[in-house]
Amino acid sequence: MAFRIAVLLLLIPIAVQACPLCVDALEGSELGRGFNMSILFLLFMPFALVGSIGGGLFFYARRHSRLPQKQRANS
Amino acid sequence: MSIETLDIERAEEVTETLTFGEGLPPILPEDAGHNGRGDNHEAKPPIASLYIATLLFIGAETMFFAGLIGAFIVFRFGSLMWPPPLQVRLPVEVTGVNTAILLFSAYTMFLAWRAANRGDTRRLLQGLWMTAIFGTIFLVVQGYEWIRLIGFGLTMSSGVFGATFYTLIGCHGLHVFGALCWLLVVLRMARANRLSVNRHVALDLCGMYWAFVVVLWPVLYTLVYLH
Repeated sequence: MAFRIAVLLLLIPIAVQACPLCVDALEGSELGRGFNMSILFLLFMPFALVGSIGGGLFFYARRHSRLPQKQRANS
Repeated sequence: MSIETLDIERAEEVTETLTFGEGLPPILPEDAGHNGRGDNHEAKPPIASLYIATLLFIGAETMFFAGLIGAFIVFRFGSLMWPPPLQVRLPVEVTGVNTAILLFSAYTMFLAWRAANRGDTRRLLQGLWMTAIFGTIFLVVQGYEWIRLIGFGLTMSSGVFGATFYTLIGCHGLHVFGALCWLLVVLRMARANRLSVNRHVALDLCGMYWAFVVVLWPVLYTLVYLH
């Protein structure tokens, strides 16, 4: 009996609060603008990070490979 | 003596021989050099693993701060008025001077690094001491300003402004404190003459991390204080 009641309760539709990140809820609002800027910033960061560290390592390794053998061993 | 005992003794002899390498043929021919390629130069990678590990660590730290800055941007650009009305104004001028002090500490760190490359221990110690003093001044001034702000009513629970301010600036302060502790360890190593011209990896890594906390600060200062 208890199981049936539990199933019945689970099946009853409950009105819930919509997701606050919903596009319709935020479109045109100041908070939506803030979210957009934050998303763009976080989207840009991994590229900037991997680009700068990877680029730095690549150019360092290329410069290092051009050094004479003895100088390379000491550097 | 039984056959089993003889076998155990023989096994121990073989183990000892293998452990100490006595009587074993050399793995490389005599003229092969240390790296087996006919020369005695060690095949070193272009960049030592420790530097790459530190770079990755700094990269992870950057993403950590990017997350915090992202959260700050949501509230900062998502508000019509920032700081929100009836909130305390931040000490822009004092913190501006503090920013200059921290930026100058990066220069003294560079001087210390250059002195280490030249083998000038006196200037190395001077540079490290100056960097540590400037870092401490930065933290003390920040702490003093925080006490004043809390006195004026700006706390973590006083609203979004206070929560984002203390989280972002507090995390940076903790990182500066960590970098300062690291710097003191390197300073101790330098005093004990454990850093030489050819071997000062600890100083290099500490310098990289110090540069990270210094470069990060003007970004946070512009974002949080200057609006």
